[in-house]
Amino acid sequence: MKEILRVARFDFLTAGPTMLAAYGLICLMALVIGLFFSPLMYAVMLILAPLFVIPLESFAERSEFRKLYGILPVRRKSITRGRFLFLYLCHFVPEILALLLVRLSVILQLWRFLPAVSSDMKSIIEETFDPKSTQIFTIMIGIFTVICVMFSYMQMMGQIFGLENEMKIIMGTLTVITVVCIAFFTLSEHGIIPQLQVPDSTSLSAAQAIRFGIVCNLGVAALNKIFCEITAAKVAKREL
Amino acid sequence: MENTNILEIQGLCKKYEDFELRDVSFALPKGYIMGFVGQNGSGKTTTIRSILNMARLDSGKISIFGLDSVKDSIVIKERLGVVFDSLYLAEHLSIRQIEQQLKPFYKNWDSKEFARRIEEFDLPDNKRVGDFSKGMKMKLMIAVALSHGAELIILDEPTSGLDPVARDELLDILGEYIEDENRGVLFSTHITADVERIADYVTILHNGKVWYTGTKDDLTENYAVLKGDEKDIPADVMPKLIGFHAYRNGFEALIRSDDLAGLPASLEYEKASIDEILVYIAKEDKHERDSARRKV
Amino acid sequence: MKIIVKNKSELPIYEQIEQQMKAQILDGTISEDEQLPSIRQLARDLKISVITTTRVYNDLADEGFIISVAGKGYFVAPRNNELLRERMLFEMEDGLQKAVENGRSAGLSDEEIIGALRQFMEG
Repeated sequence: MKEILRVARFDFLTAGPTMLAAYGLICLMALVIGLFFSPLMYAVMLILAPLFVIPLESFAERSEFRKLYGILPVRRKSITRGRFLFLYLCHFVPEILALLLVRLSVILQLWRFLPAVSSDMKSIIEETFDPKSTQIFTIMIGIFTVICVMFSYMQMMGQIFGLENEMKIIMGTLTVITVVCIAFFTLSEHGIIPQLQVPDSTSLSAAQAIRFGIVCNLGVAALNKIFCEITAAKVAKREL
Repeated sequence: MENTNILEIQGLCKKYEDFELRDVSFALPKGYIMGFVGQNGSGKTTTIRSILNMARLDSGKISIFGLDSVKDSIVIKERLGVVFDSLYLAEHLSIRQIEQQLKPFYKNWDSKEFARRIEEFDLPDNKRVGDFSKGMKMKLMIAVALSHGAELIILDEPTSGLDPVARDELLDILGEYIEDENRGVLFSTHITADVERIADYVTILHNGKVWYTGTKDDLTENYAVLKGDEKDIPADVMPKLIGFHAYRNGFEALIRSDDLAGLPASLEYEKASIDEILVYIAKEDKHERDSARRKV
Repeated sequence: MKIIVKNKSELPIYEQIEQQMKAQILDGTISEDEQLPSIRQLARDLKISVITTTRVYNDLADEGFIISVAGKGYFVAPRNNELLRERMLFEMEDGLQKAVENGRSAGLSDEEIIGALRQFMEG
């Protein structure tokens, strides 16, 4: 485990210095807008989280980390596991941060101090600060889930099939998803399989929302781990 | 008796589509520098990648510090320093940031020693290492190796593309390093002048096979370059010549010193440098190919 | 001690060093009982291989020029008659070499040079 943490730290120190400043600035902007206009703004923190992950591959390639991985006293599987742990943390930490900020914004209700806003505008803003609404909470969880799973998946495919095939991987994956969706809807349309009941996120109770959050987080962690182990098994056998 | 070989390779075989290492065996005793020479493409890098467990062995056994290169690879790498022909560290970071990255991986990392080396080697610690000159990059990799107490340093073509001053500095550093007799250096290069002076042992790799392994003195004393008129070569000596090459005014060939006895005085000989030996081995090869083609 | 290693010399490096060290021991540049650098130090200083310097020290010790003191290193051997004789031989060879070189430069055949030497000795 220590070894995996060391690799995750290594990855952070690789991507961090170039990305941290820009990301911090964006967080600061999100904080200002989030506190006064809409907590929904914290979503950018989640959407931009992959900034720490995306450049890793090109840094690794340009700096010939392939060789470094052969020199460092670290097991090959730990290198993959460290990368996936780092990827997960890159999304998980902003998620928690964003959720805490949403909570903080709702408690502070700073929008009240905004000068001279039209009443229409005011009511729209007020709605996003509604302490009883679970909507923003579920949206945040949703974004985290989609992005983290997407990038874990891309990490796996990229490492297994090579970064140069990224476009093919994306196209292939999108095709598969489209086909599955069309098939699913056609089948449920004709009553062959039961229709999917999508719960209305606006009407979720607090307890339901929290359950949704826990399920999503556990699901993301599990998928990240599964993708990680598949990648590790494939990549560790490879020569450097 | 305790095993005193710091590195030992036995019967290493490794097959690729277009290239093959065949039964590579050699040993480096503790306390010495081995020059690992051969043409580009002779298999030096593949051998080194096998030592580092970066390439899988088809067969054979490699032991480092008496440990198995596959089973004990992690323990071995704690005690191993490696210099490649190009930098393998994050090129967009500074030396300070890179130290932060590497430090936790090594139990014996010594920050003071690292700082001392960086100063000694005159490396700027706030500049992107990707912008360093080739010589500076090489010295940075050495500094990393020296700062975690590596007992064996493996260098893969560290001097290709280096200016003579940087190459000389490297020899200085290695000379200092080997003052401790518990250490070892494996130095792969195709610039044999680097090896000629400081290497104690030499292994010549040719076409994926070991052509010679042993002390450098034995190598240079056992071979000579023979020159003269082709007509003066006794018939029984002809097949013993290596890389025979005739030109308008005479011939040149490599010959084992043992075979020099009884040659006519009209043939002149001088001791062969490693460079010359490599050239004649390559010529011999071409010669064989040509005669094989002629037979076809 | 001052040693110059020539890469382009026909003489092997170990012989170059041996000759220079012998000469310096004989003419007193390196004094009696003086401690010599260790094998590995000398290799480092001259940027040559450890095996080469090991051979130099072994040869010099065999010939009685230096002695090895266990745990302490190598020292110049105390002067003795044997060594003095060695020195005479060395200087004689040196002189002979010069004589032969000069004779050959003057275009004399080997027989003529030997003849000249014989004449000189019968003198």
